[in-house]
Amino acid sequence: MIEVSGLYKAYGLNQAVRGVSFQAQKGEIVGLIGRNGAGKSTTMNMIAGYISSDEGNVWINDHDILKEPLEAKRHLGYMPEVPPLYSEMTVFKYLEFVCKLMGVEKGRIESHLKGILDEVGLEHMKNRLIGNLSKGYRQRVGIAKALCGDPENIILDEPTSGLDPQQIVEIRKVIQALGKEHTVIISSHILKELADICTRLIIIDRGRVVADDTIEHLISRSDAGRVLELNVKEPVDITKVLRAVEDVTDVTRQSFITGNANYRITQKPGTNRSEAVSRAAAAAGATILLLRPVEYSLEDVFFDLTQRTSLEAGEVR
Amino acid sequence: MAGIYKKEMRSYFRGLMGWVFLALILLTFGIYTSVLCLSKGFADFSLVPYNAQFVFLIAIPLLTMRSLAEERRQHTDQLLYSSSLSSAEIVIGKYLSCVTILALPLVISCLYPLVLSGHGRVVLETTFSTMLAFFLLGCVLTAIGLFFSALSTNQFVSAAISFCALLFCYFANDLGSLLSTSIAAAFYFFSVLAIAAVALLRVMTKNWLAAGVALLILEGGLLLIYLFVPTILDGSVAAAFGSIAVFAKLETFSNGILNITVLLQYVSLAWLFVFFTIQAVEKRRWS
Repeated sequence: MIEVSGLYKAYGLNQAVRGVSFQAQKGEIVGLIGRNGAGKSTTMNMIAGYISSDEGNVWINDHDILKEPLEAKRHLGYMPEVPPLYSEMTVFKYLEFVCKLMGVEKGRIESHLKGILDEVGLEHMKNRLIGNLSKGYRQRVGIAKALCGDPENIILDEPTSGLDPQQIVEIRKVIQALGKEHTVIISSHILKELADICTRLIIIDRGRVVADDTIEHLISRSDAGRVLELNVKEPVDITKVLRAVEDVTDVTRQSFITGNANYRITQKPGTNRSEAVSRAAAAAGATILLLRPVEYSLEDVFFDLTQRTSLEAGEVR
Repeated sequence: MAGIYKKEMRSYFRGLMGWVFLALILLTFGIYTSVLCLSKGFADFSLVPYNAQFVFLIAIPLLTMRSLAEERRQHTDQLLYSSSLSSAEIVIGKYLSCVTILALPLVISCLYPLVLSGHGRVVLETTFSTMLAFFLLGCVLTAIGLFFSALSTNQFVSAAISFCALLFCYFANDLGSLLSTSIAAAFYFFSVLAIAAVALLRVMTKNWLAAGVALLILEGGLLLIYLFVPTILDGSVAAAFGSIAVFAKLETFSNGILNITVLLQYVSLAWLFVFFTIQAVEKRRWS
């Protein structure tokens, strides 16, 4: 179990992380997503005990990373954004060294590593020098490193970065398998990737958590359903008629040379005036070809949430 | 710690650095043994380490430059500091590997006087006490080199700074004798030193109040000494430089004196710089 409470970190005048708090339980794969410089890697580095926080606490299996760092780190496997690899070592020697650092008993190292190498598909590369490996294989060694010592909690910072599509699918399977028995926190820039494997998403923007929920909840609590799309064949512009419908806050129109027009009708949150809109359009003489709520994708949710914090921060785009 | 130690040892000898260090020390000892003991026929082997000490100016920065600086440059420090090892274990593991590599050529060189003693009289007591002091001097300089390696991300910058620091230690006695011995000069010298120390404190703690209080105490104390007991400052500059002149302390051993005080000074200085290195690593992580 990983618990993070009120983390703050500043680099000089730049406040990189501002009060990040969340929990990740056993059996959960939690995705951390945000734009470049949002504070994901800094947060992960603080959880892993590589850097300190200015304020706040991190508990790994109830061990405070500042007060009991050695005990806490024993339960944590971490793969940073740039895998920390020694290019002059072979894959096996490197992982053997990591096992020693993680306190794996000497007699158990070989069998332990065999399982890990099989899991991440590195068995046939174990005697190769890390310096001669491709980026994809280096990334796998990084993931294997995080699994050494069989920690209950695993943090992976952009684990699929630089991998080809085939490798991405394979690594995704590895992470999904890990998620059954471990607590996994994974960061990525690619929303779809996280959406496919994560049970929960944490969206970070400007060092703050702007959303922490399941993907279904994130979509449902967004503007989904608030906007209706209406496609009509119309004799005249019916924008004013639609604006007059109760609870409608905004109407935008796009006309086509075929004589059709497309309207986007925004309603007050929690309301559904599709029937009233339909009646008003018909009464105005328009032939309704399509009326449906606009479906929101995870990308829309992400942009909506991060744009809100930008506006709150006063950034002009 | 054992894991770090073994990894460092392998790394030194898989690359060139370990072999270059060994060759450099053995070559220097070999040349001085040939010239002093074989050609000139000196029975006192302690002259060899005494004359060879300058080799540390080059060899030690070579040995320590990549130790911590390279870990940071390659981001492999993330592996070490997120593992279940403490910073002290990491630094001590690395320091012990450097000290082991330092000891290897010296152990081999200790065979020379034993071989020579089969062909004539060699003062083995003086020889081995000087070799011990030479090794401990190397330990001090290694700790200093490791400290500068912890402060930099570039191994060549780390080597350059270490070289300058060791050069300063090498010429410290001469530099001290060049400065004025007057009490007023000593007062100004220590005032500047106090300001530099306070500036360092401010940089490390980012606390103006603590730095201000420290400056007040140091400069106030110095002023009181200067006004009321100025004799304390008499010869103090030379003494201060003398305490830095770790190379010069080796002379007493080659004169046949087993100077326990100097040995303890070496051990203390080595421990102090290892401690500073641990603090430098910790500070970088926690600031």
